Amino acid sequence: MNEEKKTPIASSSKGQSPFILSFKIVFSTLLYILFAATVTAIFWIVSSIFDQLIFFYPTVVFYLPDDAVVGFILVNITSILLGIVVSMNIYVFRHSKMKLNSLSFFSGSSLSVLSSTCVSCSSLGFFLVSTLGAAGVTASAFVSNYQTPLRLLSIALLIWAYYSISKKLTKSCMINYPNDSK
Amino acid sequence: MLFIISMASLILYSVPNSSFNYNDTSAQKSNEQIKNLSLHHLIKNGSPFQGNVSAPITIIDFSDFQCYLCNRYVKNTEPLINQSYIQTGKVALVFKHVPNRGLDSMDAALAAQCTNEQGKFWQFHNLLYSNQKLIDSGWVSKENLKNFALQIPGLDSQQFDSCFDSEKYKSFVQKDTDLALSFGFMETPSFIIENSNGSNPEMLAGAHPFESFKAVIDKKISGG
Repeated sequence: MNEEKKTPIASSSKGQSPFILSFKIVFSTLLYILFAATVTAIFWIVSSIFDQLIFFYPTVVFYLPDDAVVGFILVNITSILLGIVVSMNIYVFRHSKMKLNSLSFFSGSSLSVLSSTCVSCSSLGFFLVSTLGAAGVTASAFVSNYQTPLRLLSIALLIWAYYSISKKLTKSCMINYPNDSK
Repeated sequence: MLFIISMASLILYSVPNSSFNYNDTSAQKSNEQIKNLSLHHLIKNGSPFQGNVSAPITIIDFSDFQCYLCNRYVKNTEPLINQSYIQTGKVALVFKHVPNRGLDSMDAALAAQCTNEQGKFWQFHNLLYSNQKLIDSGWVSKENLKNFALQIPGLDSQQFDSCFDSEKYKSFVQKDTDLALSFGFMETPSFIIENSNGSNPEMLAGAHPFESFKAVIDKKISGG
């Protein structure tokens, strides 16, 4: 492998955890910080709307009742992780020809969206009943009943996605950064 | 980018669905339908209600006993509405059944409606919500519903069992659900806040906090 293709950060940070090192590599650029912040903010707002914590009419109000605290904490964690993982995946996509770890990223992010959306699966109640009948009700009930385990699972998947992408990022000999060295 | 666009679309989709003014919807209801929403008509037809029959404002609550967001509303918002508006005679609260959350929801609705014919609906309503468990976990099985009814002081259990076993109010509950559908409600809890003659109805979809109800009710009281 050509020595010039190694990143300066990777070659000078031997011994650092892949988690920290990859984080430093990606988020040393303002663009990726902004991108992660945007993804986090959008997911947080959407989740809060579906969890019925934010209302825009008749008054704009953020409302956190006792029963929603645990879910809210998990949504915060998921939103931040999602922002980081999406940014890192884009970084890798733009800077290398390697294949994205699509399984962990998409399963993690889609499960996050699914679990936060279906927390208020009542919004799908009529639709599910009319289109899928009893099976729809059962599916809706399952996702509503197990929203917290589903959210924990989605966090675990996002951590896995973060770990996988971190490992790939810090394997400097596999990454070509021709544009970064300019 | 696709992710951001899809998320933004979700927000735009969600915001107008969280609540909307009846008057602003394109599907204007007929005068007959509005008349059917009057407090007098709702009470006459057997819908459970609390508050003063001459209250100027009516809130119609479309809920399911298995819906945890309905429980959130009952625990956090309804007591404040009760204290500020129902006890003061400004608002009457009417309950409508929308048993869409689980397979056992219909039985819970039928049982609750049976308690209403003995004037015990709100005790049963509060008892169910305070004992709410996971959807379709058996907590509102037929047997458990009868046990809940036995806990209501003064309830005639024989009359209740007869009413419940015969599914006396099945068509009544179905009409409630049809009413919710006719207004485009896609979730529970959902609410119509209106003048008690059925005019100027405004809809709130979701387990809104007290601030939302206060804003709408105060506007109506002040003639807005």
